[in-house]
Amino acid sequence: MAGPCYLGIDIGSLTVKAVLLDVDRRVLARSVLPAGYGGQEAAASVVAQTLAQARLSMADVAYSVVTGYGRVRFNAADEEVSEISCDARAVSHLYPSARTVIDIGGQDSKVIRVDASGRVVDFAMNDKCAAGTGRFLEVMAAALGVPVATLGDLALMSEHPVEISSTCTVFAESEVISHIARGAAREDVAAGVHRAIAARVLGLTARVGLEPQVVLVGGVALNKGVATALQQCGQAITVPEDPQVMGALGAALFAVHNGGR
Amino acid sequence: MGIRYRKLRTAGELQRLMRAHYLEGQYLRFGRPVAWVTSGAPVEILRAMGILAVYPENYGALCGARRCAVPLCRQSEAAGYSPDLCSYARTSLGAVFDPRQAPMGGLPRPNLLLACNNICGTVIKWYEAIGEHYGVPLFVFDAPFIHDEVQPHALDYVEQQLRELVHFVETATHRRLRWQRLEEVVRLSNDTVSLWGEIRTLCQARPPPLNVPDLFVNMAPIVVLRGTRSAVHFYKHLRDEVAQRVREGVGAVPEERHRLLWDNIPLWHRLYRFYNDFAQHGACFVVDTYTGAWSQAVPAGDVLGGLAFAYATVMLNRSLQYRVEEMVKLVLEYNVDGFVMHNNRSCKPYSLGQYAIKRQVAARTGVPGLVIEADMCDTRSFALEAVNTRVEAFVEMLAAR
Amino acid sequence: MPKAAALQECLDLVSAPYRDWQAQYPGRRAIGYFCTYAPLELLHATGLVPVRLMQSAGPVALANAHLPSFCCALARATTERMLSEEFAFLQGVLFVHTCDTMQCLADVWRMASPQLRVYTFSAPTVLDHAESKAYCVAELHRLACALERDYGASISSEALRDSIRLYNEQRRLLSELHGQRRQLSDTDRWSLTLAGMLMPVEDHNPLLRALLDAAAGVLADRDDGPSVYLVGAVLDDPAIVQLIAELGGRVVGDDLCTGRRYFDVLVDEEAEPYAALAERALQRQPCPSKHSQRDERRLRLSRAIRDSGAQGVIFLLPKFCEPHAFDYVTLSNMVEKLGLGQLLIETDVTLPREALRTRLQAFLEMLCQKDGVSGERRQLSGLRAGKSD
Repeated sequence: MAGPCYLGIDIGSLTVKAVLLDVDRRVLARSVLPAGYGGQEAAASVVAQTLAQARLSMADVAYSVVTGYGRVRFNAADEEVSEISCDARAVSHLYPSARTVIDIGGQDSKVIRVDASGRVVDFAMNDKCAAGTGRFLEVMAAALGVPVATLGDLALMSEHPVEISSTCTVFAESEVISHIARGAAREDVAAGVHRAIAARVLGLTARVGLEPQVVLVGGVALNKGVATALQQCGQAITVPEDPQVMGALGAALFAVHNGGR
Repeated sequence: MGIRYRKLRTAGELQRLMRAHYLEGQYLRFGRPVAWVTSGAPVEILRAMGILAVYPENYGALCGARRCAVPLCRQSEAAGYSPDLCSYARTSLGAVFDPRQAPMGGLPRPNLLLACNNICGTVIKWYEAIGEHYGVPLFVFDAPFIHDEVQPHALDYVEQQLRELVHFVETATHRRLRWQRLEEVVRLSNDTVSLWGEIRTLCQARPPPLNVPDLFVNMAPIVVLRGTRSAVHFYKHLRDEVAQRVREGVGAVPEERHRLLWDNIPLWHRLYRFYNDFAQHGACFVVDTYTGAWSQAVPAGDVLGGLAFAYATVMLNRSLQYRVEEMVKLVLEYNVDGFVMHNNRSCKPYSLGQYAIKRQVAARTGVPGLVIEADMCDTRSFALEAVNTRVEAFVEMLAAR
Repeated sequence: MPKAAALQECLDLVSAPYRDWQAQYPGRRAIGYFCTYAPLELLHATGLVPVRLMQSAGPVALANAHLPSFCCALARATTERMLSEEFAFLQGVLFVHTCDTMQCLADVWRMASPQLRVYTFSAPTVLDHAESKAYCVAELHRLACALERDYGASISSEALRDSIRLYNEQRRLLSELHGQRRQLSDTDRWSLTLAGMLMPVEDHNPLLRALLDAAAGVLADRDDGPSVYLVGAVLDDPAIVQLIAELGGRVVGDDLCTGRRYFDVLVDEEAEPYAALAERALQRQPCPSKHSQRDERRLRLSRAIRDSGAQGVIFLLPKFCEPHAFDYVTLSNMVEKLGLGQLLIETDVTLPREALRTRLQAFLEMLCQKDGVSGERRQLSGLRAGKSD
């Protein structure tokens, strides 16, 4: 592989991601690893793994950009950019008609409005409250006694979702337990859980506006039930093939743009 | 095995009265201006000028009781209002922004607004928002908070504002205040207050003729129809019915075992079920601090001075220490075995001091208290299981004494 | 170097305001206050040093027995400090009536700490009724009587005029400090401002004068980063300003209670002192807890933001603060009409640095793109900022 390559790293609270691009913005390699404690070691590992996949080394990397929760402590990159800008960049690159990005991560959720040029126009974040994040799904999956990875499929089997009205995760958990105790079907409770997280996220979009094309990214986007539940807003939701690495892809795109100068 | 709620004969009259009140504003204005008014504002001035008064707070309570406040709150929250704000305000603004989802299509469009901060400071900001939305004038009636004694210069300030208010309304509506009419309205207000006081005092009886939801529901006219003849007639009938219950020994709760005191605005969204849960254990709320807030008569003498005093010294405009004294008095007068305080997210003046008040009242009277965290209108801030757990534990504690 | 030492003294004081206060100012009697409406000159003329009570970084635990969670961090954290004896050096505390929380806090403190001397000042809520000023003057006299009685002092007209002159001097100096963006870094500027609310004014004035003279002509900040205007309440931790500077932003103006609103408008030194104090209280840039029939706050703010040339506005609103949260909607729409970017940050007891950094960074990145665009508007939940951990 000739030519320089460009590296984007996303250090999240639960996972670290890296994407390697060539000068034409083609993906050469990508990896996802658990963040472990602090994320810095895991960041080094995910970079190493990604380079190894492409049979390249750090010497081949012309420019690197880091983003995500742990970006401040990562010294080895050339630049750091916020994950909002990175998400916007990646999604606009893949979907030029995208105007709204919803990113649901393990511990936070974000809604980003972009314009036709892919620039960020507005954004809203929820990183204080577990409701509306992957954490919410984890807690509810545990209450239902199912692995969180199967929660989405379970929800899709339901025809009569139950109502979960609390805005607080702890209250909602107690509602789930009440439903189970009263004999509600697991799939119906799971569907109710998905409606609740969707309602919370759609509430976040209310101030920013939900303009199509709406694209869902982040680790939680891997859960098919969430995308379906979000569609209750009346808009179609697009989920990219690899939603988890959008932040890292965006960072890599910034690397191509900024490193080329 | 549920307790059947003992309905009052006057319930029908109350419904008609309240329906007429809302209909009048919508359809029977006959050219009269409409004012949106806070519950603690000197409405007598407006009545004496033939202005129709409607109460967004009462409307908020109505939405809470009909369990339709949440969609309205979402409207105002989508407009940028924080979900931490008072749920009456969020409900009211939501109804203003999108009347389609609002009961009765919302309140009739106002011609002017009158807000008094003797109950809280939030009403001022809420009414500023309403005024901006409708483009109508707002008069803020400033009643300085009383930390210790009532100050003469504060009363002067309040009285002067009453004069300014008259001028404001005259300018906004081209109607003149007739002083004789004002005196008559004040007399009617006082009659209402006096009857209401009698009704509450009758609940000292054993068994108590009313449970507190009756008071919450029946206090509506004293808030929204104060100063009218129809309110006086209604409360006469209600007083007579309650007095009859006392004579006949009819209790609101069969097998009353515990007499309780309620503090703060009720959980409108669970008005009967909540107190029914207590009634299941033989607990009846014989008195409360909220409905007593409209027990302030206008003193005799100079009418403006009297109005100034009455409105400046309402309970919520007075210190926590004052409220401790009042609560201790009620505990003793009504022979109360326990008290329950609603730590209401929406109402800071009423709720922030509750832990302090609880400690002092319990220490002074030897009577235990329970604090319940919820909201008066917004069901999203209410966790049924958590509250039930606390209620059960409290009732067990009372039973064991 | 005298400049560095004086600045360091202020930085130290701001990072630990109360711990060694009495040792640092022996023989001086401190009275605590929360609010920019407090008549500092009156307290000073009584022979007291007004010391502003601010929140701390630590967790709130003891205060939970006295206050529910749905009130602002300032109320909860200062109550925590009080219960932890951090304010034991105070001779008294003054509560001014502004919002519902402060209204309750005065009584909560009186009940929690019966030996503490608590003073109240029920300033008018409506700034422009015909009788607002007369009432305010009468209320000032009532406070003065209470102070005279308890501190064995007699507040003469002359003493009050002297105090007014001193505080006016402080206001002029602070105005100069905030007017000349090139002289000192944003962080230093804010620390100096906060220090002035913690130390005796007669010590602060010469210190400010000396620093302003020494910094004349010195360029400290970059001149080319995106410019922002801060709107909010009490900013008692320079960390946010420091972060903005670190990320390349410049603060070109503010409407903060511990900023411009503290030194806005001088007291008329020629007029009768009590009337002059009341006049300033009613005339200066209002707090959202006050009502003016002419919508003064929004009108003045609109002008000030335009004049500052800011590209964006950052709203620093305390979570659970009703007056600010209501005004926010109107102001947010106003900023949008001005075509400027905006960001909302809700502050609370603690500070998650990463979340704060992400928002500020994303916002500043947005401002760097062409055209004013909007940052974060009202969100369902916010983030917390306070003293750093």
